[in-house]
Amino acid sequence: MANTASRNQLRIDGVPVGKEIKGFQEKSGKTKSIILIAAIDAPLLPYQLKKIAKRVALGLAQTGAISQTSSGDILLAFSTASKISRKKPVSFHNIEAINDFKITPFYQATVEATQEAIINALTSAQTTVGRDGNTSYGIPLDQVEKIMKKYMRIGTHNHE
Amino acid sequence: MEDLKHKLGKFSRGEKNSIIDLKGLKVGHLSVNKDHLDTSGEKAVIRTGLTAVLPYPMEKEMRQFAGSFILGWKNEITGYEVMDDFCYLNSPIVITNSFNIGNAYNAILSYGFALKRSEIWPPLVIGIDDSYLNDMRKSHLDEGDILETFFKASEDRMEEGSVGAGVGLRALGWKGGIGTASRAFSLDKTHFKCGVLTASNLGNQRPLKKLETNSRPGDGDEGSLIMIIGVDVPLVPYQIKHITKSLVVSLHSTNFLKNSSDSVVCILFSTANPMSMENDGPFVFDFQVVDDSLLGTVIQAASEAAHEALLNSLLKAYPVRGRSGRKVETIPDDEIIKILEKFEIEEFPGCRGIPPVDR
Repeated sequence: MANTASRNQLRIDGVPVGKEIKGFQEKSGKTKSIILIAAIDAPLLPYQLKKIAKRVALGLAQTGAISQTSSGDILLAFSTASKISRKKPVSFHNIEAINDFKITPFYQATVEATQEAIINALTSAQTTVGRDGNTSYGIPLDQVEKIMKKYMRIGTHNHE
Repeated sequence: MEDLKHKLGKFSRGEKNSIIDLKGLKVGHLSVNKDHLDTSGEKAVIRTGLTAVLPYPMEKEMRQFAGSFILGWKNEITGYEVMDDFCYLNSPIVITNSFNIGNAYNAILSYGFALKRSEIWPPLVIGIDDSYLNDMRKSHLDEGDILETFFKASEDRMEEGSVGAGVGLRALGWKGGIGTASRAFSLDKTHFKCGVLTASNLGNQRPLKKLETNSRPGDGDEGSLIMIIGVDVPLVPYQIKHITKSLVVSLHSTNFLKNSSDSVVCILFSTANPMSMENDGPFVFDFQVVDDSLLGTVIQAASEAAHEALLNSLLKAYPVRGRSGRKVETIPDDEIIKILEKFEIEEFPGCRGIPPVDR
């Protein structure tokens, strides 16, 4: 849930989209917040999920966000793999956990998915007029497309 | 404590009432008591040493879950941040005087190479200040001697009192040192053990004056307490962290530490879920984990053992004469009885009013 940061910070796949976009500037520049929830179906222990949550922050940073003063950045990570029954209490649980030394791909996936989820929140949102005529503009997709082409992220010169 | 015929708490002691009750765990001491003239012709009085806890047979390429809680940073500790972040331990835990941390660190690395381990890293070395009795600037432990201490560490016998890192320590103005205790308990009919090793170096300042100390004001006002705890209960890191915090709070609420500025270092490891090292591990580990509802019992057992280990560190210490003609005496039995009487009686029923016996 993205409700955060300044326009000119926005980066998509490394492209400084926020700086390139013309117009559509809203009036207020207040710092707000972002909520990021990472769900993962790999068996991870709490200390490992803490590390996943830190990688969520790295994904956020890749969109250009810097967590400015009074920005509330709330990151949560949970695993759906190890289920502990509340109805049948047992003294000892048998649970699985990914080997710490093999956890890097999960970090990579977390960073990538976080970045994309934030961009999706922006690109899916419509222009909204609220109280007192305040207007929040949906990101102009036509401009974004041109900018991404200019920086060779889409079109004939695909990077990578 | 055994000699005083006191039983602290409700759980029974482990077989040896020592941290070495944990299977495969070894403890080694290097004690240095030496008076000599150094190269410049000055007298050097060395009262120092090193104590090493080897949590599992160190030649095994493995690691164990571990965690810590530290209240007040008065001790330099190497490897601590990495252990706390990675949540595991694969090094011996070494306590020594602050000026020998470097040598101990190197010795642990050498130990790993000698055992043909891929690595023992990061070495966990806890520094402790024994400068009241010891000429710290002249007391360099030899790296080879430290290495030998690791190889000679024993799983059958552990000395307590003024040995190892405890040679030059003092606590509450009395002789401090190394102490140990253990508890045996069961969780849902399965038997477990918990062992504690403490190094007591408590200061003299006791603002509430509930506990008399044997010293002059301004003389060693602040100190520290190190607790190394091993359990064979299957714990995962968040539970380990919880227990270490509970124990520090528990110890700090006794008259030993209440309202003092002493720092407490608590490091706990679980021997129940050994994990392989980097290159030869499975993708997924199968762990057994105790339910949180049973953690209270583990905390109670560890707390009893920790209190008793602290008392043992004082009781078993012999008097030591150190630098500048200083001498630190062993705490008298009746002082210990006073301390026991001042413990939370509800928490440890049976502490009160048992007469001391000859030591």
